[in-house]
Amino acid sequence: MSQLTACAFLIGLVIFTCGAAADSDGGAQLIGVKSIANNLIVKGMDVTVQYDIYNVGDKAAMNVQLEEDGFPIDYFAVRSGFQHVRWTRLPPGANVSHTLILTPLQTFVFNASHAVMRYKVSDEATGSTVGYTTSPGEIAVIETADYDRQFSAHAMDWLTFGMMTTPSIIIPFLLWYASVRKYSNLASHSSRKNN
Amino acid sequence: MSKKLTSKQEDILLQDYSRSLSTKSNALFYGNGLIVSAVPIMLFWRIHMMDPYQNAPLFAAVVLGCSYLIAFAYKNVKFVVKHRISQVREDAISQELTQEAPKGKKVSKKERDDMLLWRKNEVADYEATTFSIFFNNVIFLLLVVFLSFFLLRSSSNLVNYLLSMLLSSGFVALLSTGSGAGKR
Repeated sequence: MSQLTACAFLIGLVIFTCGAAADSDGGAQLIGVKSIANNLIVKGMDVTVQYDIYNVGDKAAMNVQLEEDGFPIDYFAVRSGFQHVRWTRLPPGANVSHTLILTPLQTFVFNASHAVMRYKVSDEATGSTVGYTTSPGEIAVIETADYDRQFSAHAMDWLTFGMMTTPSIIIPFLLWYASVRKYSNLASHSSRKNN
Repeated sequence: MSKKLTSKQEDILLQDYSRSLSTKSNALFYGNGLIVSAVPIMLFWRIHMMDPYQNAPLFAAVVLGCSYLIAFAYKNVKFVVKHRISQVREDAISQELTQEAPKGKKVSKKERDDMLLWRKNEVADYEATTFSIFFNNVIFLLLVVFLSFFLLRSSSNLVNYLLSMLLSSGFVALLSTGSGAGKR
């Protein structure tokens, strides 16, 4: 089912990109897919954004530039990767990938829209062609506390709880047991003596 | 009892059979109850994500209520267990007194009986107190964890905290009122 959806999605993309790049005549044609690798996007935790650019044309795309301006600095901090990337050449049938790692700074619902691709359809082309990647759509950044509540193992918290409860159980037990042992030994000693 | 008891023996026996506790025992029980009922706040704060500042009045009220119920359970279990211990330890305490008695010094039977009664009461009180605290703490904490993380896990934080704490301390208090409480 997921394979069928992916195929339909790619076919749709090809049609979309062909339409977008209709002005290019037998040159390079780029398809860009922008995807968010995380299932859950949590405030303060890394989000991986992946860009895959495919050249489905019959010529190499030159001076390919990927421009990502969809993550405002007020809402996201860049942890790793670049928002503007350039490849000198993308041969026909080839693809390139780029990864950007961000950290959401706030809890909000965000519309992740497309990134822009600029490239020359051939070596001889004078002007640049503009294409767009897909848009992941609306993403909700959830609170760290909500995430922790559902998914965290809380090993440290349980350990702390164990350390806090142990004295209130172990100390009375040891005191009681020491007394029981002492008097049990005395009783057995006394009964041996009587026998 | 045909033989007339001295006032010291009477005092010890009264102390032994009475449910009233000394100030020291009361402080020990309420202090322990307070600690044990306050510790689960850490679970509700860190794991159930209940804000401690926002819920401070609720936490305080529940902790006080639970402390009272747990202290009540400590007292009842102690009372029941103390008599059993007192009966079981008689021979051992007598043996201990014989060992401790200074050699060459004659101790009258009355003095020895007084000493035995006093020591028996002391040992039984100590063992019953420590056992009661241990027994009730284990049951209370296990119940809180079971209720809040298994039975009431899908309910809201507020309901979860209220029910798991009050049901656990209530159960411990109820259990202590049975005649078989703390049976060993």
